[in-house]
Amino acid sequence: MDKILRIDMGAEGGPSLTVFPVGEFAGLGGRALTSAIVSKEVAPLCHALGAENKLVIAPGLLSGSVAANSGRLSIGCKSPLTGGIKESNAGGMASQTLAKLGYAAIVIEGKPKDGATYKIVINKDGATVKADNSLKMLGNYATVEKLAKEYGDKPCFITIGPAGEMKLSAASIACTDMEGRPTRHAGRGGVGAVMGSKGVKAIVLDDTGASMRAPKDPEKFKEANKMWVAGLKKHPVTGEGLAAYGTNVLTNVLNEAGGYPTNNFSIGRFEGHTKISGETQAALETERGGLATHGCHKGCIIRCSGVYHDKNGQYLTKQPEYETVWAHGGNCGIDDLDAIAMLDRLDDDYGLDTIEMGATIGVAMEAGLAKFGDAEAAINLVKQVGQGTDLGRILGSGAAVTGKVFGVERVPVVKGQALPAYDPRAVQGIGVTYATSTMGADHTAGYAVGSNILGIGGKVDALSPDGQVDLSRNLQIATAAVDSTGMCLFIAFAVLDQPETFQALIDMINAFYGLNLTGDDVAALGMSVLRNERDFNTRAGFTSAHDRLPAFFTNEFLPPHNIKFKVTDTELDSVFNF
Amino acid sequence: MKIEMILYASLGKMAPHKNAGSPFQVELEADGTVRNALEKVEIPARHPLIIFVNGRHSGFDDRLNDGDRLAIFPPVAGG
Ligand code: SF4
Repeated sequence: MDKILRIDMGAEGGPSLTVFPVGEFAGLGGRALTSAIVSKEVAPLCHALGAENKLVIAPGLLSGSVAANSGRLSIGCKSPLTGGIKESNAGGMASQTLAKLGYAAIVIEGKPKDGATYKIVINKDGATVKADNSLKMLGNYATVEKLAKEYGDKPCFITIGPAGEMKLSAASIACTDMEGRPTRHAGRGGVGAVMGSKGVKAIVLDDTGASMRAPKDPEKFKEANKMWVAGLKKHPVTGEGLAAYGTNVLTNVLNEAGGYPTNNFSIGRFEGHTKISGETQAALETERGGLATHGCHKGCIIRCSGVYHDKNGQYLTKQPEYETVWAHGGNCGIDDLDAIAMLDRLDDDYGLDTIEMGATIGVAMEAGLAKFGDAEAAINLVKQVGQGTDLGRILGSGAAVTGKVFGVERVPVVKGQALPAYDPRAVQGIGVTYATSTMGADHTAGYAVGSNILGIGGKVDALSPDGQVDLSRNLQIATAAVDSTGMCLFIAFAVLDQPETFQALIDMINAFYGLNLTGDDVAALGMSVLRNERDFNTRAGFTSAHDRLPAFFTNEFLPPHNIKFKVTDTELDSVFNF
Repeated sequence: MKIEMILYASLGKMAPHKNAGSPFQVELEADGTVRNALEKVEIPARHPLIIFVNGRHSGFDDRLNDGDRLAIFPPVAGG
């Protein structure tokens, strides 16, 4: 990973490719690298869909090595959804493959003048860009099927669906999984629209002939990875819980806690929760011959995912994860797992962020476009996005735009990005993260749900504002560092509870790169990532007024606890005090 | 007094009806605690468990009241 591939899609005479040494960005990976490049090279006031924006795709520091769970990919740019910096994270095979091919990042710049649809092909001999208009407006599934016919099923593919080509702000970028299906998405922030604006439909990554990345100190690395694997296996959540029920085990937990956003964030409990819970979902998947346990990339030993079959036992989609089941389920009053799985499949095929789309449908229901609980209507609304009707384009632009168009007051967004599956009134710590994250509302940016609800990484009372700012700050710093390693964020459950597992992670990085980092250095890395991102956002025009939740969270009581968001503005403004 | 108990995820098999997520009633002495309720379903009162009484985090020695809803999860997480 000592080179950066830059592709200028707008070069005279057609796209041009240049390989540069990693240079000043050496030692950075994943989010640290995408955010460093975006904050240094992208004009913060540029139009996110313009030639000046850049799409940066970077594997993590440990991706491409044998380190368990190291295959997460970071995709960065200026977000068309938030107008701020974006790092969107995806599983699938792309990160390992790109790292094995030796690239620290691919930077896609400029904008083609010819309106053609391009594909980028990267293998051990180098990279090429070709126009391929036969891919135009194909869904992600049809796109990868066509690419697999041409390139075989060995490569992995990074693609966009019609939503990205239409440059809709809820558009995602899909990465294929171990089975070659386009199910792992860099969902958030409209990164798919930026890829679409560059005219790039697909990236083919073929690592045939490339070997795993070798550590500087193989012995020490092997030892540290052994400790790492043992630590992940030992913790009840990473060793057992996530594999058995997937992330959707949270449906019942959040419902019990009264923090499960129901019917567009109007109540904190959903009557139909057991019908769509992780327990029910896992049993159904097994019964229909799908899989209740599955990894999104080679080397994942936590395996939180699964495979969802329809009533006839045919593959429909990957196991919809908690955020998706909530967004398209309880948030819209829908208690039908098959309908939710269909919505997940449609989102994946059109290339849409499931959180943004579920929140958008919730807002549309509040506006009266459909009734809460009407699964068929929800499916039809999402289909309109795929078809690119006028209404579909509004919905595909996300919850904020939809709320504005239809005059809805209760619109759950921060910095224009939809809130995920935890009501910040009943889980006050995650409210601090939603409000202040550089990304817009993003649960993964500082997962205070762990300490607020799950008893992981200490305990902080979910219903009280006390201690939430410190909790969110520390988690946001730690997360920015983890997102730079290529590690799946779920490793944090073990790392936060088991100091020796945290140490094993640092030991792996040290052995791999021949470094002597300490825990403090890791925190310093996280802080520097956040500083870069905050700096970009400030230059893009963000102020403390953007670090706030929508007014209804401080005005409306949430049943059953009848509670409002109580963290003060002054406290929110102290999150980034470093 | 009677409380409503719900066992989730892998603890479901400890419920009288063996179902995760379905409530059942438990009779307790007037000053019964979470620990006493766990004894009734033979779940050892040792960490880690996630315990909610009426949607609020609770501990093993917290007193219960008639009509309370006690929900118990094994250590789980997601995101
Ligand atoms: S734990 Fe889940 S999200 Fe993380 S790498 Fe494994 S399958 Fe992917």
